Amino acid sequence: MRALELAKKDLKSEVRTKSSLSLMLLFSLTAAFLFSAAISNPKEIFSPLLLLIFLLTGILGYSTSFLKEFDSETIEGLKASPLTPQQIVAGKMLFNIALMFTVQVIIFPICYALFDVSGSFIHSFLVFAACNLSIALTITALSPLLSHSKSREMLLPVMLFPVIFPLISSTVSLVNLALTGSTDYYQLLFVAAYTGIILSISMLTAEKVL
Amino acid sequence: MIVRAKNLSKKFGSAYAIRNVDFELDRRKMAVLGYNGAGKSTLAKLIGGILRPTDGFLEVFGKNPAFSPEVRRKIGIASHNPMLYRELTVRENLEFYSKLYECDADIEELAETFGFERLLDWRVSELSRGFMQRVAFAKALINSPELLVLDEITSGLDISAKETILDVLKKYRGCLIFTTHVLDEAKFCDCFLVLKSGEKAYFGRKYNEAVEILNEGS
Repeated sequence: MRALELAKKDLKSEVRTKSSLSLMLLFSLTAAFLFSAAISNPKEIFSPLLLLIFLLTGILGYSTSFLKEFDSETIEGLKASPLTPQQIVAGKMLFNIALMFTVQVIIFPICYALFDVSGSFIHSFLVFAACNLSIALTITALSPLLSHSKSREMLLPVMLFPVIFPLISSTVSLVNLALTGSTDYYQLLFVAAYTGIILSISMLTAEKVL
Repeated sequence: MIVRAKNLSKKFGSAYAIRNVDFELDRRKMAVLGYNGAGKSTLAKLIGGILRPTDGFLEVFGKNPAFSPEVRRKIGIASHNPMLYRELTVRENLEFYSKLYECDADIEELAETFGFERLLDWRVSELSRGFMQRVAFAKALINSPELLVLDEITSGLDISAKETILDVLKKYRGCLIFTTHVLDEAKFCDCFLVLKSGEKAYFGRKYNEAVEILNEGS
């Protein structure tokens, strides 16, 4: 419940400042427009483009909620409260999941239309949401590690890509299949297992990183 | 015993901020005296559970506060860093912390005590530093703590704000740890810990002796 209170506080702050959301929307829209203009047949590579847009958007947006707490030193208030480190991480994850869904609800249909994609919209939206959730949780789990680094903007992608690598090919093939209306349940199970592992590791290491 | 520290040390990189500090504190008001860089804030953060000791032993209510949410629930902490969310209103900040501590604090009453009742719906970013400190102090009292840790809470405040805070502290019935470099402010305390370059220079009940030791060689 306390984790939920932390997520609600972050949502309230975000509604008021719109700092992460506007940054993420602006970046993803720009990237989507650039790709649609620069690539002659973007629908052929819809799923890798989508993954690239959401991955880069995530790097920009999901780490900010944690880093803001460190920059403003409000993390000390959270650490002094009865919140456990696991509850702090869980609260940030819940907030980032809400952020992720908001961005996906707005950007996914725009990409779908801009890239002139044909296929099952709802199916591909849901399958991509499962993969995107994994990306959001991975970035959230990594961001407190970078809190004391001066070059954290550079370090996050460097740390993220090897960690996220197993998810890339699964996401691409799952979204491609979803557009035809079918699902590879083994790949989906792999994404779920990957998400579970990331969640477990971040909870087990929360004491150390916070 | 509410606080027990034995050979307590905290290192940042290769430098010790606190080194081999020992003291025991029961229901008393303790002032931690020391000049800049003496380790007062580090000690406050260790007792508040924000930092973990590098070496030695620290027990607050029988457990290390950094690893015990139940212990942290009994502690209220305020420092020169107000630990408030600037984009939220004063009321929202106090409500948030009240929910984290799972207590049903009377925010209006707290605001009235510290004289910021008309500012409850202002954003923290719109407050002056003095009022921010008052809100931070109110935040520390939100859970009716058994142990109150205050780190240079009066620094940068005007006389009336200082008096309001010191009046509340004098009436406070729990255990208090109050760090300051303004020696006169510590007079109401009943025991004194003097820190010099992170090490304990004095721990006892005599104010004059504590001040004398603090000023030796400075």
